[in-house]
Amino acid sequence: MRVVLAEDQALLRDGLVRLLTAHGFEVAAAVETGPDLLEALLAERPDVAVADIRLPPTFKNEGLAAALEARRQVPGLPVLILSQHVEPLYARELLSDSAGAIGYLLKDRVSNVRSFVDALRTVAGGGTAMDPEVIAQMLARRSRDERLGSLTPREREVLAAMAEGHANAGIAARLVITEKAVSNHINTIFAKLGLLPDLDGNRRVLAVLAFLDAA
Amino acid sequence: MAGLSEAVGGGADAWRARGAATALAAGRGLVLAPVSLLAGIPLLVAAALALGLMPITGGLLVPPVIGAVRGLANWERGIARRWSGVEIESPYLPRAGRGRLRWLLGDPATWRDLLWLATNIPIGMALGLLPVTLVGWGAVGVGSVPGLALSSDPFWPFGLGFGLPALVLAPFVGPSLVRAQALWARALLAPTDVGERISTLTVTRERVSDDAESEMRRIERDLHDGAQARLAAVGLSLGMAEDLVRDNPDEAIALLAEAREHSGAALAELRSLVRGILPPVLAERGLGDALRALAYASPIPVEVRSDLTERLPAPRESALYFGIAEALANVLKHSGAARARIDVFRRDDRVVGEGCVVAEVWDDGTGGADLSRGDGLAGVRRRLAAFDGRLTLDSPVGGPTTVTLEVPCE
Repeated sequence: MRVVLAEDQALLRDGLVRLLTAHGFEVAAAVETGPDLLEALLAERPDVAVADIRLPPTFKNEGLAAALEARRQVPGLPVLILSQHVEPLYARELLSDSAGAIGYLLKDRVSNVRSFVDALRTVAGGGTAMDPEVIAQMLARRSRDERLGSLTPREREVLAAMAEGHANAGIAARLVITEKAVSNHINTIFAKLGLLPDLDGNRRVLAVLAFLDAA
Repeated sequence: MAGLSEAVGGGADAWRARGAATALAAGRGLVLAPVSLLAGIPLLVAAALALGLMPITGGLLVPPVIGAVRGLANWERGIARRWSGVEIESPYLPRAGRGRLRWLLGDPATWRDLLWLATNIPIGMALGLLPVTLVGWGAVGVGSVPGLALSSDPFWPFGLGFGLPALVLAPFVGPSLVRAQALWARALLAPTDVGERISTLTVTRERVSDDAESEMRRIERDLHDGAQARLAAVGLSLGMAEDLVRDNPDEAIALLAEAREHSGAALAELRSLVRGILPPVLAERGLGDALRALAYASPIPVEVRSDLTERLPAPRESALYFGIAEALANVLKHSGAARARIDVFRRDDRVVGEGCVVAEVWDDGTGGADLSRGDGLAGVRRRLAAFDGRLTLDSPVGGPTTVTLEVPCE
């Protein structure tokens, strides 16, 4: 699996290259700036991109802007954004094209190597991987959306786990229920959120988006 | 009938009150007059000596004498406020590291104090003694009438003629004379415009630097107790794992996991610290998006409207952001509002000196908010005052509440 990496801090960049290589990824390019990232993404067309949100030259959100621009030109290009802080507002921007294949994680998560690699594979496979911190911030708020308010606490847990990028098996293990129960919950969630089976696009992503939009 | 008797009764009460006020004014005049003379003359002589002898004494006498003059002037400021409701702010400039003499003699307020001291001798005497003189003159004049009339002295109408007008005049004039003296004091003892501006700046600067100082201390404490301690623990766990890795790999793995946990917690603490210093969204996107992120995370719907196109100077931007965040936090905590709105717009209205960037935080809650309660908005007001910014609150009981924050552009 080929990866393009953008990180301006040399220590972290080298560490990530080592980590990814050790887990069987091929690092096609490791760049430092926003413009370089955009160029590398368009030239290399990797299976997945890993980008720091804040990059030179402006140190604002160059990484995010470059990734969004690349996805505009190559729809559905999988991107995992890393940041020192997570902001639900950015999560929504990342998901707004409803194309999926988006990850948004705190840099801290890299230290849990296995789950980081899992998240990267999920994103590369078209899924979403939202940081538990984003989910926690959204859950801390009262529900504003009646559709979301109609979910049971258990269904909200399932939806939050889904937003973090867990597959049904992972959700089942986490909540200590059967996979069949998970898939029943998910069908109920889709129904309550009005996501019909014949709807185009990734229903899991749309459910997560509804969660971020309305929570 | 009832109305008439009430009116008469009220009239009697009014006359009693006027009588009391007259007596009070006479008494106060009797305090003011001797003070102006008996404190004024020695202080004036002492000041002349202290200043005149400066070549010989090296100005040694100046500070205590000026100190005493300021003491008397401050007493007068207090009296003017308590007796006549005339507010006189203290005009003195802060010392600001200057030499004592240079500080005292360089302050225009010192010379204005001396001018007041000199003029207050005749003015204080005249205005102070007049109320009691009127009463006394009137009493003596009217009081002499029965005696003169009894002794068939033909001059009794003169007693009445002199005494009665004085007695009638005294209640109307007495309190005004005491107030006149307070007004004269204000003319000389209040700060001039420049002096007032300097003392405002001094006060706001001190408050802001106090706030900044306590903020630095808080950050130091948080770093010391939080991230630093945790990073030390990371080092410790790693060192122990290094020791054990060959002999007891299982133990080493447990220590490594512990180290990872500590580093995660340290990062989480640093993150919340950074958020308190300068929220990353504000640094990355500016005020509009930072407010949108704030609204997005709020449990009630908050509409954000901002017509700012370019970024504000950084200190103003963050002062406004934290001010708005505080106001919104208050809405969520106290108002019981169902919705809120944040408006940020430019107002180029420099002629009347109003804020150039204005932020309004509106909510439909219960109102009745009060700036004197709680420290939050007062802190915001101090922070804004550093840029000549303002915070105003409009919160009638029953709502709605609008907090307005304004900062000038330059």
